[in-house]
Amino acid sequence: MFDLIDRIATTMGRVLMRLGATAIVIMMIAIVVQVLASRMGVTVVVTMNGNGPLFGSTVTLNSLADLQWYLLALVALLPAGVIWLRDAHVRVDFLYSAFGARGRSVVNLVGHLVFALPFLIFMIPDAWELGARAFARGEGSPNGGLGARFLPRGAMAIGFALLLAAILFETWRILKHWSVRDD
Amino acid sequence: MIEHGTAIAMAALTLTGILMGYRVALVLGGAAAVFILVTDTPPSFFKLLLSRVYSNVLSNWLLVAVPMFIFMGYILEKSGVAEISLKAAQRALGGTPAGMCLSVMLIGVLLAASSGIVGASVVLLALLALPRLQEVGIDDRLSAGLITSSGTLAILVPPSIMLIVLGDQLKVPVGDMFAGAILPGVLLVVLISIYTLIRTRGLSQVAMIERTSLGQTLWHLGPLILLIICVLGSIIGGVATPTEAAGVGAFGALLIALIYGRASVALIVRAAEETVSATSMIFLVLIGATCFSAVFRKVGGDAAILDLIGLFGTDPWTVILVVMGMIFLLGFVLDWLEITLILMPIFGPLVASLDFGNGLSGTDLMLWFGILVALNLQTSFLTPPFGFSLFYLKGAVGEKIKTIDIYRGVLPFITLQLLALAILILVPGLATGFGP
Repeated sequence: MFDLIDRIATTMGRVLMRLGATAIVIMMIAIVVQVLASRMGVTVVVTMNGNGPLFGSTVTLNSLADLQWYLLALVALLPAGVIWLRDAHVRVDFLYSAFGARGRSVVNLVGHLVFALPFLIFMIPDAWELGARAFARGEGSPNGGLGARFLPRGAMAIGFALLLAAILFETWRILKHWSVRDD
Repeated sequence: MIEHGTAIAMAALTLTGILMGYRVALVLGGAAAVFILVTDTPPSFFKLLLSRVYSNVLSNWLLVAVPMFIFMGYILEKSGVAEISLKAAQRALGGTPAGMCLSVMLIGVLLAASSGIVGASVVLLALLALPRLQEVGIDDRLSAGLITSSGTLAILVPPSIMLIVLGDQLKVPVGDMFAGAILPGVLLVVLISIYTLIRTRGLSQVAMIERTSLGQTLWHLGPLILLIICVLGSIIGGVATPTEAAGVGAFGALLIALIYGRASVALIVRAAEETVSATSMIFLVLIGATCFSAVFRKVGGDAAILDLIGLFGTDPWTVILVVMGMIFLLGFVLDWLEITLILMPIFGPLVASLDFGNGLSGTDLMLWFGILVALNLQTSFLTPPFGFSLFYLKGAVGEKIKTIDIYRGVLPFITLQLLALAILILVPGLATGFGP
């Protein structure tokens, strides 16, 4: 069971990082196109047939600007859990690094309990509600930008939920190590 | 002090969590959650936190510049373009011990103006320059101090992410922050140069650098310098927003990698994934700190800190010295990001209300203060034992330089930083007298 989840987490991590990397490249291209178009005085970049949920029927300067921060919201939040499991989030480690394996586990477990759980458990339901409401109401940009505001709003709920999952998994990992050593 | 009990308890819990080494972002967010729960703050405050995170952090278009500048830096670093340019600069300048030292610093400036990643700058400088510095007989302490302080310029010299976040917090246009950091940066470079020239006097001249033609040097340095000028010039000149310049700059970095034959899909993926990682880390701290600040203010943290400053006096110059002293001391344990996010909303309005009798007010006053904070926080990268740049250097050089020599070597450079800070306090025109 543990190994299965471990594999799923690793695969999901790889996929999320790859998607995030793609988002970064799209973000860059969106900026370049936006700069070119605005300097040439174009406001409607592409007109499409049909009416998509994200762009509507036109790609405008405003929708390109919106696209950039939508992507930023996704890139900022969704990989938080993956990066947590890779232990890449910032810590001040001058004491931590001197603690030894057991001490570090204690810091992490106590930290999960005191800091991570209260924060995430109270934030996730409210964040979910925000995202769901934006989805139900079909919130979008008021000025010809992108639709689908539930994407950046919902990113908070999904990102925090993935982070919580990562933290629970890390807790399991720590406890498993302990029981192995105590045997 | 009794009325500040809650705020002090919150600060204490947070500092304990951070010092114990739990991930900073969730210490901040967690402390916010705990103090909503244990005080009489209504649980609906969580909704307020979310809407604040959403409007201040996530839907803040200016912050799109952050991942784009990081991406640009990683492309230049991982493609080897930075290394090509650095070696060219070294060949052009090195020849004498003093020239070698100056080249290290100028390379630091180039790296700072193109990538802005302190860790990458220090490591690159250490790998490229340390062997040559040792060859020409520069002692380990001077080398260590020079490399770390030159590499740390990355956080001060625009386009620096710190200046973007500081500008956002203090409501100073990023273009002004960038312009305002230039002369203080130059001042620092001049101070370091003078010190190094004094220290390298009397070392024998050793010329063992293969000279290259001017054309070669231009070919290796030109594109990078052109990119720097375009990116910074367009922001400071007001032609482009920081976000636009950053995105186009990342694209330009890719083009440069392409003309050197160093671009590939693998490179883009690697640089972009590192960018995702760095971005997510920074934004989780931004989110945590946003929540912390809101709750800290709610439990009276602002008033507590203002009272603490008030204990020292209310004269404007006393206040600015106390504020600078607090930032400097906190810099020993906290990151620039947390200090900026937590303290600027408190210090900003405080300083904005002061009259220093130097004719500064409004945006100019905030700009001057912002650059002072930037210079101060930059110093925190160098202060032993926890300065980040010192760790990066130690990591890059291993046993080649002893830790104690790094600590001792960096001390004169910290003094130079503080000297620059003092000069900037006395001559605000260095920050405000330039740019739009």
